[in-house]
Amino acid sequence: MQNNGYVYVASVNKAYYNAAKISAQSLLDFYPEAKISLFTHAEWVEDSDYDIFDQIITDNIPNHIRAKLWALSQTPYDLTLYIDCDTMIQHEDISNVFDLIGNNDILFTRNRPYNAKITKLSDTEEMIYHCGLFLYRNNENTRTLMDNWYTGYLEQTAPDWNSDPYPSQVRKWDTFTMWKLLNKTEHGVRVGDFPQPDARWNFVIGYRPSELQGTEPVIFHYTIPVDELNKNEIYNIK
Amino acid sequence: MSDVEVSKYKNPIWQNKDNRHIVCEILQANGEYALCHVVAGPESEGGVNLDYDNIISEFGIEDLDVRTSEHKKIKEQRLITEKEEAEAKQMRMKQEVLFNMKLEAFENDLIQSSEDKDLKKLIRKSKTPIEVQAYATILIQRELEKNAK
Repeated sequence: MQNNGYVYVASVNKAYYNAAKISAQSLLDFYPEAKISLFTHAEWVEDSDYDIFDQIITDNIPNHIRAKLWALSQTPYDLTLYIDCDTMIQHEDISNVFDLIGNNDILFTRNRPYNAKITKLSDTEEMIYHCGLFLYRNNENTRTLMDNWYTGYLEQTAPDWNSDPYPSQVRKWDTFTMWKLLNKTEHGVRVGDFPQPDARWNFVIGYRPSELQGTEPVIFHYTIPVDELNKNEIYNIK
Repeated sequence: MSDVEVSKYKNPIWQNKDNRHIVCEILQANGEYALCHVVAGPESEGGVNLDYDNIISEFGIEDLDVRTSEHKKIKEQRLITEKEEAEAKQMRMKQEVLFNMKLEAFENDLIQSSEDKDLKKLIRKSKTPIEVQAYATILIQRELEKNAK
C-alpha cells in the first residue's frame, strides 16, 4: 500500500504559513482523508494546526525563500503532490491526483508564456514547466534532483553567479534552476506532463478560462499580495 | 564631424493621400525632429507646398504607400495587443475579486467552523461573486438556526 500525500512548505514570511493552512483546509474539504505535511518554523506552529496536518516538520528548516527546494527530498510520502502555499483546492478530483503519475517520476503543468514573467531563454530554449505544483515519486533519482535543485538555486543566487548566455533576470527563478537540471544534466528522472487540460491542476491567476477546456479547476493558484507579505511577521532565527 | 548629409524629413506616411496630406518628422532649427503635418490639398486645386514636393521628390509616392501600409499594420497589431492586454487585466481582476470573496467567506467564524462540507465546497467552487455570496448566506443562516436550537 502506497503512502501518498500532499506537501506544503512555509518559510521566511508568516503569510506563507497562513496561506498554507487555508489551502490545506480547502484540500480537506474535498478530501477529508488526505495526508498533508507542512514544513515550517517551529515558532509559528499552533496546536490546532495538527487538526489540519498529519505531520509538521520543523527541524533544520532553512529560513530561505526557497525552503521548498530543501524540503522536497525529505517528503514522508511515496508519491507527493507539492503545492505552493498560495493556492486553494476547488474540486474532489484532488483525491485522484496520484493516479496520474503513470510510469513517470515527476509530473509538471506547463507555464503559459502570456501569464509568466519569463519563459523564453533563447530562440530554441524555453522554461516550459511551472514549478509551483508538481507530483513526484520518492526515489533516489528524484531525491537527488530535488537536492540539486536547492544547491543549484543557492549557487544561482550567489553574488558571483553569471547567467550567461541566459538573461540576467533568470537568477531569482527556481524554474530556471529546474530547467537547467532537466536539460543540462544526466538526472535519470522520467519527466511527464499532467493530462490535458493541465491548467485545471494548477490554474494560475491570469490564465484564460479557455485553458480549462470546459472542465472545472482542481487547484486555483493565486499570488499573495505584497501588502499582505509586508504586514506579516518575518521569521528571525533565534 | 560627419560628412553624411542629414535628411530634413523622416518617416513620412500618408494621412490622406487624396488631400496630399503627409505626416512626418521634420528637422527643426534646434537640430531635433518634430512631428509635422504637411498638406498640399487636392491635386485638382493645384495647391503648392514646398515640403510636400521635397518629400515626394526624396521618397517617392510608392515608398510612401508602402510606409503607410506598414504603419497601418503596426497600428492594427498594437490595437489588438492593447485590447488583449485590457481583457487580460479585466479577467485577472475578476479572478482576484472572486478569490478574495472566497477567502473572506472562510474568514467568517460560522463558515470556518461549520461542518457542512457540501455548502463549503459550493462556496469554494463558485464561479461568480453572486454564487459565493448566496452560498455563504445560506451556510451562515443554517449555522445560526442550528446554534439557536
